[in-house]
Amino acid sequence: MSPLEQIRSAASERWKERTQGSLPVIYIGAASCGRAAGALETLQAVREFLKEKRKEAHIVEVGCIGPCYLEPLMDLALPGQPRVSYARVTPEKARKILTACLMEGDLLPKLAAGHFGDTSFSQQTGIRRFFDLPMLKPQVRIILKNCGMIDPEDFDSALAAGAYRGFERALALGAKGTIAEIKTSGLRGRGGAGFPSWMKWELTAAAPGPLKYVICNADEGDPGAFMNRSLVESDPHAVLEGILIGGLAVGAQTGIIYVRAEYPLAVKRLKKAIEQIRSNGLLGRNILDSDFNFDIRIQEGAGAFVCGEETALIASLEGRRGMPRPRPPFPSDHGYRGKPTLINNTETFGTVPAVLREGGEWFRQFGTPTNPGTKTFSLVGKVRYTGLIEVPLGMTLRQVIDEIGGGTRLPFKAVQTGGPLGGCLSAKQLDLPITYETMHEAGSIMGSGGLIAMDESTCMVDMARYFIRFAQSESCGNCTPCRIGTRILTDTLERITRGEGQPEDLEIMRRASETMTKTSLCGLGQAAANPVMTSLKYFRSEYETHIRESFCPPAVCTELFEYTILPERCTGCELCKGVCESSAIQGEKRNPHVLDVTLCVKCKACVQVCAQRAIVGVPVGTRARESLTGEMIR
Amino acid sequence: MSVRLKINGRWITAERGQTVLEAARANGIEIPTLCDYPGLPSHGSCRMCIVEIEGRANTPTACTTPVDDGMVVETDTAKVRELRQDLLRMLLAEHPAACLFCPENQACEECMVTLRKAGVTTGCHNCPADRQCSLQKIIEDSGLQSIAYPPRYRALRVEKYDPFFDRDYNLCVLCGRCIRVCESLHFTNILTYARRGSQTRVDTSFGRTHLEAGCSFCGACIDACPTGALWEKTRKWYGAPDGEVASVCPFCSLGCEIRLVHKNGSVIGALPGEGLPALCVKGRFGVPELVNHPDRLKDVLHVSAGEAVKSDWNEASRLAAEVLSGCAPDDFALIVSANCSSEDFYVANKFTRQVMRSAPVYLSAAARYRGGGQASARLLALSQPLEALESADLIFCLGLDAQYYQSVVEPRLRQAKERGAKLLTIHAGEHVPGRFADVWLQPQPFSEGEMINDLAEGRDDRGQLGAALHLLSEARKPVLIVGPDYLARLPEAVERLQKAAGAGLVALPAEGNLMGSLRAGIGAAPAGRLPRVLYLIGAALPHDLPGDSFVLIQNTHALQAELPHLFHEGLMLPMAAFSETDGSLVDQSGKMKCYSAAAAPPGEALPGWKILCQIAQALGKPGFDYGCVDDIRAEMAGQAAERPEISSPPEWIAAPGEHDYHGAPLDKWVAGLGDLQPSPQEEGLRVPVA
Repeated sequence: MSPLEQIRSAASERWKERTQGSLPVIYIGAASCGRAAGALETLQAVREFLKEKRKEAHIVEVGCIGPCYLEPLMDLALPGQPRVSYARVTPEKARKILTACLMEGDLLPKLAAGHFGDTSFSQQTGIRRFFDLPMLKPQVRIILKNCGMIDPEDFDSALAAGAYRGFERALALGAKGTIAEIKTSGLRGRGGAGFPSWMKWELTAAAPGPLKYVICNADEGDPGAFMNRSLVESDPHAVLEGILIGGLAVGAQTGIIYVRAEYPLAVKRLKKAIEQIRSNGLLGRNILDSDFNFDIRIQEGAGAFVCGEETALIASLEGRRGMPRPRPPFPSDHGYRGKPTLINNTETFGTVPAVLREGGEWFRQFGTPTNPGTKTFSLVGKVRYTGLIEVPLGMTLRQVIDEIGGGTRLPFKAVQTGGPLGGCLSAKQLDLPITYETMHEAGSIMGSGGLIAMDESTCMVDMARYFIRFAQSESCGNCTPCRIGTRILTDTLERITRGEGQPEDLEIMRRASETMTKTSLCGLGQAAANPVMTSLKYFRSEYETHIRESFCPPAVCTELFEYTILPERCTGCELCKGVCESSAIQGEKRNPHVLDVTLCVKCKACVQVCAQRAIVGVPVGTRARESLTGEMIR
Repeated sequence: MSVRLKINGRWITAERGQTVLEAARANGIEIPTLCDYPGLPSHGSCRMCIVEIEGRANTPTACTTPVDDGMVVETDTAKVRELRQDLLRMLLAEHPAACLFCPENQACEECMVTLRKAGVTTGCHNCPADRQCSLQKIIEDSGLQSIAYPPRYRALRVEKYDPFFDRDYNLCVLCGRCIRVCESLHFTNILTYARRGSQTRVDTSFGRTHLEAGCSFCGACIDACPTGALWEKTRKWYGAPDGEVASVCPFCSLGCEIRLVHKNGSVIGALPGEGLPALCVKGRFGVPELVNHPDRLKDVLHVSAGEAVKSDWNEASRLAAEVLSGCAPDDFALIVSANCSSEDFYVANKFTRQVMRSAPVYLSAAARYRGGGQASARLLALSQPLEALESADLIFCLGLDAQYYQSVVEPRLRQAKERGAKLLTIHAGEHVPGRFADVWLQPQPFSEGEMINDLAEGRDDRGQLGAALHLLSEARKPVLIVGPDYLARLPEAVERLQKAAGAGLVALPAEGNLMGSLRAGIGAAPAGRLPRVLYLIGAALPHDLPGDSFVLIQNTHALQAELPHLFHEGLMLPMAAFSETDGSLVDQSGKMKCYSAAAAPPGEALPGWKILCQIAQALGKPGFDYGCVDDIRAEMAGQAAERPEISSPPEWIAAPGEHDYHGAPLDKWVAGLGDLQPSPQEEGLRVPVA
């Protein structure tokens, strides 16, 4: 038995003792997302309950299992029984569940979201399996296999779940064999560009010189994306193992994780995990009695989106201003401190252990021939089930949004893929399979995997303005088209959303976008115009309405609409009247209400409470015209 | 290894490793650029040099794409032209461009209706860079007719915090040339990009002033700027200059090659010579201030009974001849400044020997040198050029401060450090390279000599001194670089250290032509009483002049109103400055450097040697009929170099000040806190004021 195998079997014993012993086990999903939803308050309530009732139970803080809409999640496993998961557990709800389960042995099947056991347990209790939830069923979990299942701060649980088996296999295969395995898998860079990973690895391995580096890009700066954060917070060892394998394959001595300083929990867990593997002989000299020497350190980024671009990231690591430089030379030749450097996204490294553990052929069975494997996405926006998902590449956008996301409440309008630099695709593109190529052809990008679903209540002009404004403020300012192009687009879009748009603005935006795309130095500038170009392409009429009619049909651009209450829909329930802070709504109970546009501040509170959807946006001045002509507006 | 590639249908040969831009330029194919600058690595920020390359997506930039065998490049297709024009439209959307497409552009002077009377640059006609701007030229070449993008004026305050150059970043196109020049040519990082996105601009870190950030005001950033964003104050509104004349900076013994920029017959600026990265603040910004100063002596003046009366050359020569012919040899002394040209030295020497037959020419600077400069002269005989630093494995700076004056040394020190050479420095106060030296020995002021002697004798091997000794003993090729102060004050100690360490030596005297004076055999003359007739060429007036003295002051500057209070009888003879005459000087390594006139002398001023010749001729002496400096040089060439008799100079010789900013240190001056009165001691610049 190898030394690691000995450690592993002892660890598995300890983990089993902790989770399958004679005490009940309470799992709390306490990654950043769970904490934001109140997991720590729930945890506190659980501790207080146990203390109060003098009950003993193990508490395990697990990472994120994916479905954000169910947070905070609390699971409970009674001795000899599988974990049963409860959703949206507030402190009060936690006390209720714990009282029932621990004191009375009642699992409260009606409250349970699902369990992690086999089907017989479902028949026994009437609780369905957690992974049979509509959001989880179509998913394939390879990268996220351990997320939410293991305790990310407990090395025992990671080892018990098979961590570092892939690295052991890589050690056995050697550098060349490892790269060959990656080549067989067809794994492509998960940072967004989809460059074949093996090629990058082979180039770095073949670059001359004894000193090489591996960099893990965990500078996930897209608004609405949290794949890397969840992975690092929930299963840091998967990423570390991937970096170790990468280091072994390219012949590097040092691994650096460049992680956002805005991810404090991820940083903390990574640091802890690095200490754990260092004290167990997985870092340092002669790792696992091989001649492989390697160490990993963490570098916190200072909050620039552009530092996700590899050359800017390296500049930032070197202590310079994070600005991209032209390539060639590529980092595989001339990277960190001028040495050959392998730089991959966190998710790529997170996928590598599974590829090594299970084999490249196994990995290829998922996805399409040119886009093998699975990819994580953060599915957010107006879908019913939001969260972190992992699906095989090649699945259609429709499957992701309708099946996994449960569709949108209002009619679907658009989906933005690939983060702020991606494009907005309309309902017509929903049947496109998600691959690097199809996304690019449709004018968008795969990006790092943000998926923002939008419904009829979204204004596409406002959306484009939001994203281009983000790109504008995050441009490094180095090259002309990106620095000035984003500013021109932002100014123009802001004018349009204020109702000051001119018909020629569309042509100005098209031309500026094209110049940016064709002449920018780095990926940020080349892709920054994507939201503008795709929305112009797929939602042109909306722009025209904004410019010609000074009207924003989804009622988002505040200066381009006024609210009115449709009398034929209004039931006179008085809910809107109650929430209106500016007393703009008047009316008797059970009689249609009237909205005074001169008092309305367009806070949307009434729209959100109206179940009849009777409050709608109409062009500015409609009320005035209406009272003059007596004409009704539908 | 060479490759073949096709540019615009023409097969050309290029070297592997070259960029497409370099290959194109080498073959006479023009591609417009803004961010490209000689000596800097390619940057690729302006995107102006985009080209089409077969098989490449998008339009790569020629400056960042290495050539490849069989590559097919098109630099001027319709697509490239349109994209390039669009990039220019973007730049112009953020760059004041009112004049570019103005229908009255050509007739602006006559119409003046569109010219705004404002302190901000709104277009080319009120921009200091008009007709000298790369952006203006590219736009004119591109045939662009309109901007078509919503314009934005950045409304940044024009920075005018220092006396040397203005910074109007509203005109900046963010090519980054200034930042990169500062970083890669001067090895300092005073300038950087600040903020991001559309707010990005060039600034110092943390928004400090240039002075606080440690700028040495070498002016390299101004030379690199393609627009009017950075502009030196002295020539801001002159427009395009008439021409440039190669010259030599006379402000210290380094004798940096400069280019004098002139317009309408005046010198308006000085630029580093071809191939030089930068000058120091004095050389870069001081020349026009000096030669166009209102205190320039323009008229021949006869001072009689304390009254200055305007005279002319004939009258003055006659009067001088009259006084000199009745003067006994030991009643006459000629004192020269070490900033005069070698030709002036030669003629002055000849004048004292053949005309006056008096004591040899005195050198005013000798009063500053310990023992009249005997030991200093021995050191100077060993002095090597700055290039000696390139092969040194240890550089020991003795009393050198390269922060402002002589700042051209700083990049060389940093470069040496970069390649692994050790850097030692000894200086009592804050200085460059104190902060980046390996060892900074900081003696008490005026005990520096003892410390150098300790080093030479290997005494005290503890602490910093021990570290310095250790490094010195390990060095295989040490070089000492001696600043003006220690060279004058502590030459014996430096000499001992140089011998003990077996080191090479670079001496940097303050005087522009000290080496030339030594070579001409001019040192300190033997001590004697103060003679009745004094001939001062660029030299300071002795204190306590007896009432019956007759003084001939031959100088470039003088405070005319105050002169009569200083002496009763004499002549004021206006001399041409270095920029107004031909001449030569010998730099600190013994190399002769020639300069030529870039402008006419003001008023009646004449070259120094010419004035001496006129007086000699008035005295009826032969051999003073040179037509030009070449005649003098021809005569000099026939003579062996002389070794000066060096002895302690007589006490009455007034020591000139060092070439430094007297009164207040530069930082105070720059911050507006200093005493702006020019130094009364500045030798060669003006006579003393009581």
